[in-house]
Amino acid sequence: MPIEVKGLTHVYMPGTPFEARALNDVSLSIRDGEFIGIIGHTGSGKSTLIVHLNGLESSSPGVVFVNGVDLGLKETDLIAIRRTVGLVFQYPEYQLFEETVEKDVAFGPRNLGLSEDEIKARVADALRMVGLPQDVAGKSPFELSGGQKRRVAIAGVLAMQPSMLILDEPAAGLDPAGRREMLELIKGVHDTGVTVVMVSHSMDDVGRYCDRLYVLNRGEIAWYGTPAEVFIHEEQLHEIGLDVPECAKLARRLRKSGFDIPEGLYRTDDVCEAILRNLRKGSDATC
Amino acid sequence: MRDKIIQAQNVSFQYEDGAAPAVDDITFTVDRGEFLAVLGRNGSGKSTLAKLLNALLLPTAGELTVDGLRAVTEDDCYEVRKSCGMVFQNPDNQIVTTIVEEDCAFGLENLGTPPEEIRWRVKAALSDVGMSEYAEASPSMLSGGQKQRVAVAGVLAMRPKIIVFDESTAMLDPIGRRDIFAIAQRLNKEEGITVVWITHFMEEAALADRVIVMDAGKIALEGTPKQVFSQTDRVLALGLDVPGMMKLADRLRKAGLPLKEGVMTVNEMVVELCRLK
Amino acid sequence: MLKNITLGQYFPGNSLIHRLDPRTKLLATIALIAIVFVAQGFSGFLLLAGFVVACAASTGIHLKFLVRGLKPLMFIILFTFILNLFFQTGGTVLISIWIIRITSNGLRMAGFMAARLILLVLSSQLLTLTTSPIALTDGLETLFRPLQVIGFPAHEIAMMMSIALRFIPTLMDEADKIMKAQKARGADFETGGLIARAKAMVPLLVPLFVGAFRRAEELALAMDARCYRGGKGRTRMKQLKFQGIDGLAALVIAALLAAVILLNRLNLF
Repeated sequence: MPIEVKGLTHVYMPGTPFEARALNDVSLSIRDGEFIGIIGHTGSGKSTLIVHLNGLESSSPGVVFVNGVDLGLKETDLIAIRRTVGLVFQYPEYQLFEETVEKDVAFGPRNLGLSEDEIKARVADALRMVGLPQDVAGKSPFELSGGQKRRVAIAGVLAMQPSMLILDEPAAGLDPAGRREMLELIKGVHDTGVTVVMVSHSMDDVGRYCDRLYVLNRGEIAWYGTPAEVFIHEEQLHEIGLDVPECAKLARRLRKSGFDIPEGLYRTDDVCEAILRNLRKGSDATC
Repeated sequence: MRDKIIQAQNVSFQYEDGAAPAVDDITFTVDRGEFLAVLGRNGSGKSTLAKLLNALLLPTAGELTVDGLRAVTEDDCYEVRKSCGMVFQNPDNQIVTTIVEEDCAFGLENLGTPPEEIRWRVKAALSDVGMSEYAEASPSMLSGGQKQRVAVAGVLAMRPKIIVFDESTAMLDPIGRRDIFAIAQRLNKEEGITVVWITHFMEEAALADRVIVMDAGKIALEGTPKQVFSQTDRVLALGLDVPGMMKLADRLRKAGLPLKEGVMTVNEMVVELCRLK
Repeated sequence: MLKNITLGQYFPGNSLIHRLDPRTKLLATIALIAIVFVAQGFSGFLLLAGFVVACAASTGIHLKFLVRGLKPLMFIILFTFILNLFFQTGGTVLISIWIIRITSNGLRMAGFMAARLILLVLSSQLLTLTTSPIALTDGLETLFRPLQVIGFPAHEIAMMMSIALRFIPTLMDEADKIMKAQKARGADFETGGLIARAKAMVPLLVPLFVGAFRRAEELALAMDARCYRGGKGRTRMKQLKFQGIDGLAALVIAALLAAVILLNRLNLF
């Protein structure tokens, strides 16, 4: 089990007037090679949760295990944990600082004390993985476009060659095409065998890419399971300000109107086929 | 014919760095009381257009009239900004003071409005966006959506005839986004304020009166949301997306279902499919 | 979350002193500091200390917060005390070991200087504990406004101060985020020598400055969009107004001055 969280509780600024419970008895487990979605709005505790997963924060009560190692123990080597669990924050492009793209991406590997040759190879690999041409390597990160900057920042984390990658709203603020490309990029990383945890507001995005979802609300896990299992709670999700994908809504409405549609459909392809099966009985239904 | 509150005639704007014009020879009008959505990929010239409407930038060529005013001198610019307010993308970077109500007062203070009048106009504006109870709060304690509501109130207090929202929901979570969009819609419908809504979210654009799609500084598509989004392939090629139901409708049609044009919402889709059953 | 930390040390409240006009409080504090220098004996100091403590008590702020302000200055107070203790001569010799001689004059002078410093700190503490930074800024702007005729940029300075106050929590929050992000890439901010640590700050400071400039640019645009054009022709929603309690405060300060002068004359102790 690469990541295992048990009974995690985090209180902000205890004993002050600002005291707030950001996480309350949160437990979750993530298996090797999964693509996990974490959903919830601002203040739901998702950002607090992810900084616990690589030991940037620790709280009690509660334990976090990464590959069986308890992050709360004093003797745990957190640098080793951070090389295993890569973390990409929201708007990561605002954390670039080096003169050249190459140097910025090399920051992580250099902190790991790797040889220059190894660093060079990793930088080239990481830039290729995020789909940036090698000729940006010598450019200043500050002269790139917003979308390119974000890719550089993600490359900076990938260059550590983590076996798990956590991303906080990787597509925030991008235009629709940029959004699609970013999500495909992450899917590409996942396809190489990296376990991915993606925090998102978009049910459409997590529905399309994730194997399992955790919905956080007020510091607690409200629902979890496959997208189909989670999207069944359409009304309750709406109450806490989250929407299920439009196709999931449509499928449920059609079922109520007498269409023969199995429960839990939410992908455009599946819903499209189900509708065709209903309306053109006999003939083959493909979308 | 309705009265045109914004008229742009062959307007261009070129930044000094000598690159291609950010806004390139565009001509369009906006009706008084209209809700106009502006779409386009990053770098297509949407934000430059917004700044032109607000006279933060002046056209390098062409003629732009906003509420009957053509900004030439600095004083004209202030007049334009009075009738055309602007809400920016980042809620953190447009709040000036450390107290909510003082921030709402900022614009009116700049205009030299008497203190008594500022007081009641700020009060009204804050209640209009549902932030009265936070009048004396510090903005740093508010959520993104709440900060953005304060920013709207600050513009509203100046009683503009037009409000330009420049990707004002881009950094918000779903609740904040829904709130700000609902406020813009209400101001448009109930108070007759003309809204220019720049966004990356197709669901929002689908609810506008009219949509303009920009690409490389030019207007690539223009029309009602139904007219624009029914050109699925074209919209996707422009780096945008099509609302979920229109995408589905497009695929069902391609599979041979005789779906009528312009199905945009889940409700419309249910009705249409039940008709076909 | 760093942004939740209150700025300065303002304690919100609704006491008489909280409600005073910030200008009154600024002027009264200056007057109080002057009176501390007028006082020539411990009787005067005792009266002033009593006054400050009574004021603090009336605001509902716990005395420990008043005393906490002394901590960073403890070294200076102690240093002054010891300096005076050892180097003032005259009076009767109290202790004499090797070359060190402590005289009665030295002891008196040391106590006198330390008491004066403590009173100065406590008086200004009272101001910052009961006045929000933004009210202080407003007060300063109004007090310095007459100097605008000789070209003193009172409005601009006040605007700069208030924007700084507005953005400090935002930037602290951002610093926290950047630090975490760089730590996630294996950065080490805690170990190593002075030079290593200074170098380790680069990945934090560069994005922080770049971010601050970006914010400044966007804020300037947002201010322009709301018709900002400097202090000329600008009005304020909140007008500072002197009220009855401000007059009362002036009377109290005047009475305090008179009492201290009287105590000086009486020369009690």
